[in-house]
Amino acid sequence: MSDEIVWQIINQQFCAFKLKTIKGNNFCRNEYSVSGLCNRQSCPLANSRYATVRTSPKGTIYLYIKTIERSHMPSKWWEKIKLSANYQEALAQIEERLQYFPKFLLHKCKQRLTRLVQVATRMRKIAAEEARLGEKLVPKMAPKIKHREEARERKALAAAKLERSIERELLERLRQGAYGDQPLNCNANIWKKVLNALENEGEGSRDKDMDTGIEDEEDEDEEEKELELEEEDAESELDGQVEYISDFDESDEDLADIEDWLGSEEDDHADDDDDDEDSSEDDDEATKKKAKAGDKRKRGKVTKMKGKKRKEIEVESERETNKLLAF
Amino acid sequence: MGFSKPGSVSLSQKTGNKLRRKQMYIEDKKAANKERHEERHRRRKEEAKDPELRRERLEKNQPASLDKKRIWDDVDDDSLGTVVDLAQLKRRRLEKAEAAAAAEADAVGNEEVEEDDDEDADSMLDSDEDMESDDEAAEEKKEKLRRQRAARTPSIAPSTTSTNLDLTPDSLTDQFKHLFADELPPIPKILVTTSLNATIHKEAQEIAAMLPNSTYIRRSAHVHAHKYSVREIAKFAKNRGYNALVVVMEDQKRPHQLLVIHLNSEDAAPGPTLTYSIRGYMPGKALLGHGNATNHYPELLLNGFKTPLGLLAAKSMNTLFPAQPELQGRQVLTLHNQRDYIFVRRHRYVFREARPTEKNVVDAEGKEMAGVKGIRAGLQELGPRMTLKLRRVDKGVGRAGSEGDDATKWEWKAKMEKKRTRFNL
Repeated sequence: MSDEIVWQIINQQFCAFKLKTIKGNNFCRNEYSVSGLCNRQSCPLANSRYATVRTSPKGTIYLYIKTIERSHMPSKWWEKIKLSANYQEALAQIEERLQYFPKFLLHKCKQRLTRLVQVATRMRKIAAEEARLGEKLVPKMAPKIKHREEARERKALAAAKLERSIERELLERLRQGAYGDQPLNCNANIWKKVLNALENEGEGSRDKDMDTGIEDEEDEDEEEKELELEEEDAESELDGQVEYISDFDESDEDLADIEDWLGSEEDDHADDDDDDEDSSEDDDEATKKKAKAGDKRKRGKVTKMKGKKRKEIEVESERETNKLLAF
Repeated sequence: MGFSKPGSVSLSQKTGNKLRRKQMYIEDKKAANKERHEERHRRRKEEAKDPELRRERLEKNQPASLDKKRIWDDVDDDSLGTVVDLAQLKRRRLEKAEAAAAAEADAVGNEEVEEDDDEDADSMLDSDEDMESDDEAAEEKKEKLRRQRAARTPSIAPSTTSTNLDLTPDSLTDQFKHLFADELPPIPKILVTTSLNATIHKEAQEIAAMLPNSTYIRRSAHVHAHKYSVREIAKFAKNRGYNALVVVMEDQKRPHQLLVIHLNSEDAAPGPTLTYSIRGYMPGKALLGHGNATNHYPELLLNGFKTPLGLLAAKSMNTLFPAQPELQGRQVLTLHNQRDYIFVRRHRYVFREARPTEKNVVDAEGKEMAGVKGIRAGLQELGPRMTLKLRRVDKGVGRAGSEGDDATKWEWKAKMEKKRTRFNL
C-alpha cells in the first residue's frame, strides 16, 4: 500500500533521482537501481522488496537485498551478500537467494552480474597489456617547471656559443695532429701552414736524423743528390709520404721540373745568399708540383715568398753549422 | 625600486616644480654620460699606447657567468649521482698521494738518521757492516721515492671543452662493464623505432639517418595485431645482432623523449637505458642555409661532460657511432653539454684561410691558439637539430625491465634544480 503512495508521489510530483531526457526517456540515478530506468518495477524507493548487484571499489561483487520486514528501519534496509568470484557459482547464489522474489528482479540481477563480470575481466586484461607494454604515459611536467626549463635552456644555448666552440675544437684537433700525418679533411696548403706555424712556435721541432717535415726531407735529398750526383726519380723525393697522382699531371712536366731543379741546385749550394731567390723559386716549383699532386683540384702557382725565404735561411744556416762541425 | 644607477635616476636636489625637475633630470643625465664618455676615451688612448693595460683590465673584469659560479659536491666520492668534477678530483687525489709519498720519504729519512746514531754506539766492525747495509737499503728506498716523484703523471690538461673519457672512475666501469669494455664493435648496428601508435615517422627516419648503420622499423599499426613491447623488441634485436636500440617517443605529433638502450653482447643482459627528453627538434629543411648530409661516418664532438653521470652519457653516445670516422666526409656531430642541456648539432666543416676581416680563433681561456693562426673552420649545418636532457638511467631495458635494488641508477627530480649553480652532467 505504502509503495503505491510512494510511487504516485515520485512519479507524478517529484523524485530527486529522476532524470528526464529530451527524447522522453526517464532515468533513475539512484545507486541501488537494478536497471537504470525510472519504472514502477525498477524504482528502489517504491518497492519494499528489492534486489541489486553492485561492485565495491576494490572490484568484489555484492548482492544487495531489501525486504519488507526491514522497511521501517531505513538504515538497515540493504543486506549485503558477497558473491563468489566464479561466475557460475555467483549465478547459482543469486538464484538461491532470490528464489521467492519476482522473476523480474531475479532476471535483472543476473543480467547485471553478467555485465559487471565482463567489465571486470576486460579491465584486468587491459591492465595486463599495459603492464606488458610498459609504455606508461609520462605525466606532463608541471607548468612552473616547464617554464623554468625553457628559460634555462635558452640561456644555456646563449652561453654555449656552439659554433665557436665547435670551430675551436676542430682546430684544436687539427693542431694536435689527431687527423694523422696527412689529413684527409684538410687542404695541403692549410696543413702545411699549420705545420710551419707549429714549428715556428716551437711546439713542433724538426728532427735532424729522422724523417719528419716535408721541407726538411726535400733539403736532405738535395744534399744527397749533390754529393752523389745521381739522377733521382720523383718518387724517391717523396720518401715515406703518400703521393697523390692526379690526372692533370703529365710525366713530361715532372721530368722537366726535376731537371730544372737539379740544374740550378748545384749553383745553389755554392752561394747561399745570392741564390736565395733561385732556391726559393725552385722550392716554389717543387711545392707547386707537390701541391698539384696533393690537391684534389688544380691550383694556380701559389707563391709565398717571404715565408719560404725565412725557412730557407734557417735550414741553410743549420746546414752551414753542420758543415763547420763535420771535421 | 631600491636600485639606482650612479648619478642618473635619483636627483641630487628635489623640487616640486615638475618642469624644473624635468630639466634637472636631463642635465643630470647629460653630465653622467659625458663623464663616462670622457673616461672611456681616456682609457682607449692609454690602452692604445700600452696594450698591457688593456689585457690587465680585461683579465680583472671577467664577467661572472653561471658556468664560472658552478658549485660541486664537496665529497671524495665518484659514484654516479655525485656532482664532482672528475678532472679536479683526479688532481686532488694525485696531490694527496704525492703528499703521502713525500711524508713517507721524510719518515724514512728520519729513520735513517736515528739508525746512524744507534750504530755509532756499537763495535766498529759490526757497526761498519751494519751501517753499510742499512745505508744501502735506506738509499735504495730514497731513490725509489725520488723516482716515483719524478715519474709523476703529467698534470691534467687545462680546461678545454672536450671530454676526456679516460677519467672514468672505476666504480662506473664496474657497474657498466659492457658499456666500458675494451673491445667494442667497430661499427655498431642500431635499431630505431618509435613508441606505440606513433605518427612521427619522418622525424624518426631523420634520427635514424643521423646514426650510421641504423635501420628504422615501424611499430605495428594494426588494431588487432600483437603489439610488441620495448622489452620484447630489445630481445629480438639482440638476437639479430644489434648493438643498440633507440626509441623515439612521441607526444602530440612531436618527438618527446629518446630512449637509448644498449644491447650488450650475447652473454650479458641488455645494458643501461638512458632516457632523454627532446626539446626544440628542428629538421634540416627548416634551417636556413642547411646542407644535405652524406652517409660518411661523422666525427664525434663531446663537449662539457664533467661528472660521472656526464661521462656515462658521453660514453653511451660514443658507442652509438663508429669508432673510426671517415674524415673525407668532413662531417661532425656535436653533443655539447651546457648546464645539463645537451645540444645536438650536425655540421659539415672545411678548414680554410681566414678572411682579412676575421680574427684568429681563441681558446677557452681567451688566448689565441698557437699554430692555427689565420686558419678558420667554416661550418654548414646539416640535418636535425635538437636539445636533449638526461632524465633517467635504468639498469635494464627501461623502468619495467630493470630489477633489483639499483634498478634506477639515476633519476632526474625537480628538486635538483633548486640551486641555479648546481648541474648534474
